[in-house]
Amino acid sequence: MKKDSYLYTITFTFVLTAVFATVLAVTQAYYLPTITENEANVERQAILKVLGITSEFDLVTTFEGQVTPVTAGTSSTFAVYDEDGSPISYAFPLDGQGLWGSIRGYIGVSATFDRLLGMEFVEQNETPGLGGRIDEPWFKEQFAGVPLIPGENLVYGSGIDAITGATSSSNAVLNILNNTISELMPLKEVLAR
Amino acid sequence: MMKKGELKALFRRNVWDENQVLRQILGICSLLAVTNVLSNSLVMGAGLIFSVALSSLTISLLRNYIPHRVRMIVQTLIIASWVILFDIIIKATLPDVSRALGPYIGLIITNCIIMGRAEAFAQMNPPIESFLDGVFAGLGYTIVLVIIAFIRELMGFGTIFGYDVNFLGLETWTIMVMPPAAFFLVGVMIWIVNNIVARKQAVGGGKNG
Repeated sequence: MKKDSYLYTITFTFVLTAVFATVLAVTQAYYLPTITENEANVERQAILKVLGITSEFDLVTTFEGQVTPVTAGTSSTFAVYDEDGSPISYAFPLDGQGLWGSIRGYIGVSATFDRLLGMEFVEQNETPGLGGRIDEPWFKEQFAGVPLIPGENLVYGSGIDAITGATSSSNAVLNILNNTISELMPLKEVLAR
Repeated sequence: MMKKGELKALFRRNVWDENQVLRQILGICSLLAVTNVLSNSLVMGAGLIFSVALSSLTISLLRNYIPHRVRMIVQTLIIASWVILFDIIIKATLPDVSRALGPYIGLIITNCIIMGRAEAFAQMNPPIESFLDGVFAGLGYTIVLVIIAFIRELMGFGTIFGYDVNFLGLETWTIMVMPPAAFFLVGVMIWIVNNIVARKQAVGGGKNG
């Protein structure tokens, strides 16, 4: 077969594509469980953190042992119960628009919905060094223990500081947080039952 | 097999004389994006060395069979396959790094250095030479990346590999974390290297004349 012929060109390209596609498909299939598990672990870590649980053993054991998934409204919610089966705290997903992309994470709320326990992000694309500092511990830790009053929004200045030079990202976080809180307030009654 | 002198010449040419970033101004896009932290730059460099070396090897092995008029499509296919493979492996084994680098690993596919080595070297040289050419070209890129990341991380975050070294409590420069800083630094590096090369050429020219 001549190297310049159409038939050779088509056959060659076809065979080569098939070989490479197969190699990639096999590798992807082989690693898929690990990749899925890694992604799930990021979520688990964030949920445990906002609920204030330190994982003593490995992450999955701690998570399965302490946290129960519950259905409340449309969102996936996680609850921690004491020995009598009454709730101690809940973790709710946080989701909204940041300055550059979506910000996703979790917040921990006490069972009586009167206190924020913590906030963690699993996904954010804010400017590194500026808005990206929303993921620094000092910023997130400010939200732990903040009292939640129905009908009142959280604002910067009263015990929580925004980030200098990152007004848009700071405000985005606060907006997402306030929206989420106002949406989950009605769930208090649903979850208590 | 290659002689030792040839190997040295190949190394020198790729890392210094024709450095992909400083002399050929290739691979700038990824350089701007990932050099704000040292660890990301190292993984990016490793990814590029892996992809360019194996792409060059594969293209060289197939060089007598690739039909000339579709060679670029074939090269892209080979490059993309190796990069996706690297991406999958990093996702599975180093999930934190993969999260930090986001889409940039996948974007190695579009890194001009790989296509450049394929077109300029691998398609007309034997496999081992092409593989080493790829390794050295990637190394030249990685060295520049690491130097720039060192300066940016130190001045932008006050850390090195994430460890706090800002003992004096100096103010960190936010601009160092953002892409413009990489532009300034790479510009200064190109200026310095061009000056050294120009001076050497002037001295050499003097001797001959």
